[in-house]
Amino acid sequence: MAAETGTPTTLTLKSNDDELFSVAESAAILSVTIRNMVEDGCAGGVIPLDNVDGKTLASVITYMNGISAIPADEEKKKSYRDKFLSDKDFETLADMVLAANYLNMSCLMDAVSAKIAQVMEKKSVGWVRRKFGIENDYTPEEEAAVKEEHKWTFEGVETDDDN
Amino acid sequence: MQRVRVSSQQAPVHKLGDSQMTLSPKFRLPAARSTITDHALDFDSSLTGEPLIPGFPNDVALQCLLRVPVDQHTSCKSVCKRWYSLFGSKELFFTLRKVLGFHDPWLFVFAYHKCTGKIEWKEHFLLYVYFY
Repeated sequence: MAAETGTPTTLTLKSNDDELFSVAESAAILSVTIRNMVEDGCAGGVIPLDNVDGKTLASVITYMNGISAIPADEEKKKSYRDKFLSDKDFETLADMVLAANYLNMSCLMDAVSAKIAQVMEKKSVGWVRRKFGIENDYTPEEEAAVKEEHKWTFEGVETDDDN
Repeated sequence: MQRVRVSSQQAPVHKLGDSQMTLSPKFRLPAARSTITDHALDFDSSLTGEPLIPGFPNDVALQCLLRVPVDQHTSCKSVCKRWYSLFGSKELFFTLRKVLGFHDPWLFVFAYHKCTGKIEWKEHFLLYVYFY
């Protein structure tokens, strides 16, 4: 019956740290995960999103509202995405790519993963390991051998103190 | 003049992959190659083992890593052995890009630099290149 009244339907999303967010259904269904829930009729109450924290969900909802307000103009959407991601730090980007994957939002997923790859450019190996929490499994000799193979690629790399 | 024995005269095609063949010095890779290659994991087994990025499902990690420009690959190889096996093989890298449905084409431009005498190259994401 609510759909007949003509007012936009609002969904309530709950993050894994119990924050509640209201979002217009038309924006929320950019997420295929949420769209499926709506179509299956299980979006009546609160929609729990167990893999997304409140801070990340707030960002994702800002994106949903922003991008759905833009009419079908791919150029404008792209420039919105670029602007939206330009001030995000690496940790936020990492949280967002996981959220985009869980929510099944391909446009956000593509944009964030491209941004992550772009941020990685010109960063030192140590920076990449630190940011991704990757353990160095080379022995010192092996690492020296890999670096020796491609010495020239380490020219022009930013110094390690840039966080 | 050195004669080269054509193996097909003695060994039929099904002999390819025979253990003798891999042990034969003729087919051995030059010893000067990096010892790391020995440790490079078969990529399938590395996918089932530890993740490419801790905390990331491998398909999400691949979405990010497969977008890293080719001129960064050699430094990415130094991160860890799993990354070495991903970035160490261009065939694997571009096959995975295809499998995961990356359709944006890359344009590789090679140029000879008159002053330095070096051949330089750079790839461009064609989506962001404008032709005049």
